[in-house]
Amino acid sequence: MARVLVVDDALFMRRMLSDILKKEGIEICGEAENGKDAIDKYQQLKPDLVTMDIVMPKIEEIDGIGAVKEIVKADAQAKIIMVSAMGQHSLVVEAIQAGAKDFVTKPFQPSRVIEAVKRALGG
Amino acid sequence: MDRVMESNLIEVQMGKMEIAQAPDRLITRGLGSCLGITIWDPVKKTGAMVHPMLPDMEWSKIKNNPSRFVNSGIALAMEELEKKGCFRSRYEIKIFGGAHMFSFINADSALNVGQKNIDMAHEIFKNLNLKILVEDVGGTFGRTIELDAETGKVLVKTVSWGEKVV
Repeated sequence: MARVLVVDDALFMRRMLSDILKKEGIEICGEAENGKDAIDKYQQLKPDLVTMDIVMPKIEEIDGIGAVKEIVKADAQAKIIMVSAMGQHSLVVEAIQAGAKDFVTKPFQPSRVIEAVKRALGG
Repeated sequence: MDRVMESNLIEVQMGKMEIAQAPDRLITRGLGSCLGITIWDPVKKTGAMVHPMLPDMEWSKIKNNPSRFVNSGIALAMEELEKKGCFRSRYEIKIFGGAHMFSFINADSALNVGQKNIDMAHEIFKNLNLKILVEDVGGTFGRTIELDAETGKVLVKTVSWGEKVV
């Protein structure tokens, strides 16, 4: 079973993503609420995939994209999907060029999140 | 019942992105070094066409329009298709243009914007693990492209090399 780390500063968004993925038989191995926390938990938990909120408060100068860069630097095979809001194209492309595999745009359909996760895990 | 659906032809201006659903068609005229990118979902019969001019915003002082740039133009098109219920795994992606329009610039020069545009599209789609189905790029001539949202086929017109459907 695939193990996913869900990163978002909003608790309700972590819950929503977790619920969507659990219904697909995907294990949520951890949650993180900022980029710094995400880097630490990635190293501890070694998840198969990360969902990463694109805009989160900076902790020790690390935001969502900063976390992508650090995680990819440590593990070139990392599979990270960005969760963005409408209109954040420059952040989205920065994340993709830093190594993120896909992005889903809020408000999203559960089926779209599942597609993104399955595609990233399969590819 | 003999009913013919009227098909609208939607113009995609330079630096812009538009979406069309069947039976409509999208057209962009006079692609030189600019890129014409089409992304089509065969189930939704919905397509996007974007006509970016430059690889990314580092190349321009005007940074506020994502469809002016290849990388953010692709992201914008994908976001709009997602809103229409399209899925990545069904995308048919085609890229056109990126011609080498100025013979006084070497093809491998950093000033060859056409090639830089093509390279950026390759990078973004590769990172997203999306396959480019058709590429009709480069050369030293302009192209006009028309995407039929019903079939996903693209009509490519050139002055000196005629027309083809890909």
